[in-house]
Amino acid sequence: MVIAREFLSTVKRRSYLIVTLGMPFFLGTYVALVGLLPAYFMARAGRSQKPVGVVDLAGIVRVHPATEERQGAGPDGQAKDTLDDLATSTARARGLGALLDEVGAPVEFVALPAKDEALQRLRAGALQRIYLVPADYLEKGAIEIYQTESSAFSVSKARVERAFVHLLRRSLSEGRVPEAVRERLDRPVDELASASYLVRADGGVEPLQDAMRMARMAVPGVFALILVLSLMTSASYLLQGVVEEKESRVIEVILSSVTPKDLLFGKLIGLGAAGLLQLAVWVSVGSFATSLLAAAALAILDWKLFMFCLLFFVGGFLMMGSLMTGTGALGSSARESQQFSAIWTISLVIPPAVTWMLIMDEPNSWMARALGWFPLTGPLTMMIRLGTGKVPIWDTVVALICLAAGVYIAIRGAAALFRLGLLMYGKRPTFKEIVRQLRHA
Amino acid sequence: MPGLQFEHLRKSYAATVAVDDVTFEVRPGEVFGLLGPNGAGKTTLIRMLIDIIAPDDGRILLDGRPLAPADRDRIGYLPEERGLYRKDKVIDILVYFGMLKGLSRRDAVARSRAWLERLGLPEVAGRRADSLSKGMQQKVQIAGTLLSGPEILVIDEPFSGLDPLNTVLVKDLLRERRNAGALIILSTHQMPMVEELCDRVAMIDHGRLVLYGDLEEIRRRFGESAVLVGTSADLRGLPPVASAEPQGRLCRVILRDGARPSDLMAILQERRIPVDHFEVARMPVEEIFVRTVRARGPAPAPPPVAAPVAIGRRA
Repeated sequence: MVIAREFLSTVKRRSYLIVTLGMPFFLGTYVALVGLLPAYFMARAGRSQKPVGVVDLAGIVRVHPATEERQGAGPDGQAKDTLDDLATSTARARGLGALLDEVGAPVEFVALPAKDEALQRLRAGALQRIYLVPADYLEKGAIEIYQTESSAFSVSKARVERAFVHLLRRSLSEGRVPEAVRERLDRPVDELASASYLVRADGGVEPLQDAMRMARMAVPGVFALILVLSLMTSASYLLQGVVEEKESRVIEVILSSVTPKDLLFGKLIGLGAAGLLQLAVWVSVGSFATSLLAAAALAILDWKLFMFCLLFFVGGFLMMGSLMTGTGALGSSARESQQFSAIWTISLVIPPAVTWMLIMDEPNSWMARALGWFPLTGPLTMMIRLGTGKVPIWDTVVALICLAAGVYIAIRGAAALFRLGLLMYGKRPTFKEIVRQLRHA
Repeated sequence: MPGLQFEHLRKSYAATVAVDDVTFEVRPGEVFGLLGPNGAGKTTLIRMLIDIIAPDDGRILLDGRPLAPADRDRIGYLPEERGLYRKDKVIDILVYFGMLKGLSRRDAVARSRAWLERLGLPEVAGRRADSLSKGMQQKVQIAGTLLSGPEILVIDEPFSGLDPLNTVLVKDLLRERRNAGALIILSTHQMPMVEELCDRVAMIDHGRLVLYGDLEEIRRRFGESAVLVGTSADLRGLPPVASAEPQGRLCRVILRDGARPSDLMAILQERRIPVDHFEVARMPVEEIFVRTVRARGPAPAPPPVAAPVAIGRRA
């Protein structure tokens, strides 16, 4: 009953609807403004870009009339490859791909015989910049760059510079090195053709598939993200509800009908469901996110890993949610309640956030194990550890048992604090009262 | 034994003893007044009864056995301050309260509508609680308390915010419930309501039971010290008079402790004060309340000298 009420009253809240349905729209607009618009303008600038002048006093640059250097493996190219892989069929992806094509448009180089003439054309606006390769370039490696803009950083400038370096490399190797070697000079490691292998403790060797590795990390990663996000969203609704009930004295009527423990549990489940529904809406509205999740998690899903992550998620949510509500109820205002309950978010997130790299390197070290077994830090730490695929089953089970014990203690303690905090209006309970109440629990 | 027994209840918060060894009983089919000044420990007692807080010592028995969590459904509680979800619709709040008491959704909806009708508020079902007047909110709250048909009613200041018409309506409702066999504990500072409704009372002061028993018995005991006199003379200052206040065309005289109505009669005759009416009155409950609290003073003190109907802590 409490579950249904908390769920429905939260879901029907105007603020919930606005945030839930408005967030994808807001994010979409934000991405469009911050991400796509600059890309669009850059693309437009790229299309109307002027050629780059090259004055070669060293006589080494092979610029054929209107040489075009396209740099294939730059970040733009990678981004486009990823997009192609993920969702070529969606109209949005096609639009974005076209835009990235524009950004990665080839740079046109024009060979000019003398510096004076080049400068004249630059001033006249016929060139965007000039690269001067001095006669002693081979000894010193220094070049001179002339441009009309003074800005130090820009995406198009970096792109042009990469293209010029590529042009220099191709020119220097031309005729001196076999064609096959020149290809390798351009791309020393072809990542698509490369492979990694995992050497197991028993001496066996197995191919380490990137996709599998990604999926292994993606499942716990998504769970960890959802845990933190759902705790943050539901905790804020939870505290809002508790403070409202406390202020309006509804709490006395409710507590005359249900036990504080039932009320706490009902609130947690109801609001947790509302929080998850919100996340589900966000995730499914973003078709890009859905395709990413689908590709990473569903296609090559490890069900055992998924179940363990789910258990750690549920345990983590129940424990953290009840602790946050219990301490939140001690506050006399929404802000104070949020400050009290923030202690738990910090204790959940900070230790794994600081040590995650160490945990991933050595998931079975004493520190990783201690953090994984300790109920407060366990849920996130175990998700990181499970992602490595090296944690023994018994270890995971011990962590789950510790977490279950933590959940039991947390709910009992939180119910006691909840009872104490809810009936104290306008004043905070003393530390002595809190200890006494906890002892009773 | 049917009814509620409070046995040696004790509860303290830090250094303050809120309820100190309190023992009394409430019977089915009676309206029981729980009286006492602010901060006396009434709310703590009520919270122990509805199991929001646990007593440090003592116990509460219902029908001869300790109160159990399942008994919550038998108790209807009306808190002193309005406890409604401000932004929710009235019907939703009532249905929620009814379902928390174990009603099915259908039953809760039907009963909520019936109670709103009974209390003259059928049109507010779809309105938000915060759009209602104080009196309307109080009536909605009363509907929420009564709709599950509880055998035990614990009501704290039920008349606050009600106009005289609605006060009569609620008084009738309470009498109706009492006649149906419900056990009603009424906590209020409105002494005329206590006089009108209560069969028996308990008065708590500084956590202790200082007065307990049948209201008529108590009033009879205190009654001899009040006299209604018809006179135009100022009676204040006469030796047996503690206070004299006009009451209609008469004067209500409260006698000093130990003075009797015959002492006043004698002095009126002796001083030849013209009198056309002389009536020994029952002591108003308010006066009993004030006298009892004043007699105990501001600090906790042992119970007053034992009177036939006054019970202090058990030895």
